[in-house]
Amino acid sequence: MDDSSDSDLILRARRGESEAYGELVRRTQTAVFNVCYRLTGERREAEDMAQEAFIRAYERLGTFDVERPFLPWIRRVAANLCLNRLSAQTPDQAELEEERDKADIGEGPSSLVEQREQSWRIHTALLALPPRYRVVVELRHYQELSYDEIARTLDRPMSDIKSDLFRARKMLAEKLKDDSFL
Amino acid sequence: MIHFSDETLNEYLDNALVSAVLSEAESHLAVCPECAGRLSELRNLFAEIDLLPERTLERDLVPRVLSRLPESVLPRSVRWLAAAQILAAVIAVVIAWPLVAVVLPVEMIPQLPSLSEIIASLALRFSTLGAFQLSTYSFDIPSFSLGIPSATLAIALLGMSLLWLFSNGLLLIPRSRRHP
Repeated sequence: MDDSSDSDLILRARRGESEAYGELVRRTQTAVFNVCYRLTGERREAEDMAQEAFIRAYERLGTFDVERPFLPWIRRVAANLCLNRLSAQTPDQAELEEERDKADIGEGPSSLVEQREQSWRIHTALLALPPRYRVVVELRHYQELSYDEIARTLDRPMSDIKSDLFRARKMLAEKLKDDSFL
Repeated sequence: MIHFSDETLNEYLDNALVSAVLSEAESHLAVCPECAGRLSELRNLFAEIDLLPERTLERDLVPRVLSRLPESVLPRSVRWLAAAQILAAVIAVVIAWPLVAVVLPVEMIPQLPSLSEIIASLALRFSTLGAFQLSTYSFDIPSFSLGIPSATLAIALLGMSLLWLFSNGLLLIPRSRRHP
């Protein structure tokens, strides 16, 4: 494993060393995949979107400030990419059901099953949100960006971001409350 | 008693309230069970959202990403500019070389063909392909009315070209290697 810093790897990748970029991908691929998985809800699609995000980031590597950390940037690239893709399509509920089967919720000790059920409830509640709400929850809760950073990432006014985030949380709370009575 | 809006409570938990409103909110929450209750519900929701675990990646994305990378990360305009700069530097060196040979001792100068010799050689090659022929060609460094000797001008040109090549090389060295 290459123990070079991220900034060194970026500079080497800019010079055309693809192995250096490969090391950056290796270090960050799980985090980027999780961004895409939370936003798309489907494993294969999330892998494809993560792959696409790395290629998009490579094309923009020439303009990236190497003094800044790579991971937050690539996660924002992935979130934006997923938002654009989601805005152009409607979620396929059948795929979600298929994914649920794969999660093997019903196996293992009861505490583990309960934990998986709860994760699944949150996951489906998130996926029930419109894409523009989903992405602000992703950026605020999982990437811990401020309102201002989210506004700059999505190139939207901060008032819109606040409003979307509050509505998203309200919808999530209602959805989770409804699910707990089922 | 005036209660806080949901927006304010959201901003409170997001650490987005300005200090004046923040102290007001804290004072109010300490004495208002209704707002404190709503804040508690919102805090529980935040905790629930944060409970979502990270999923493991079952496939290594590296080979697939590397197989799809474009050839260069430099913008096309920069690549053309770099190519033009290299060409200009090479021409400058070729123009200056015969005059450098005049100024420096002969044994220090590798014998390179002058621009006129290169052009004559190319013309000879072309002449074998058709009727076109450039039998003689003489090239003179343009004279300037600034009182700068041509040799000095040529050496300055050569020096600038070498400096340009050296500086561009430096820029390509990773920062950490320049400042360990």
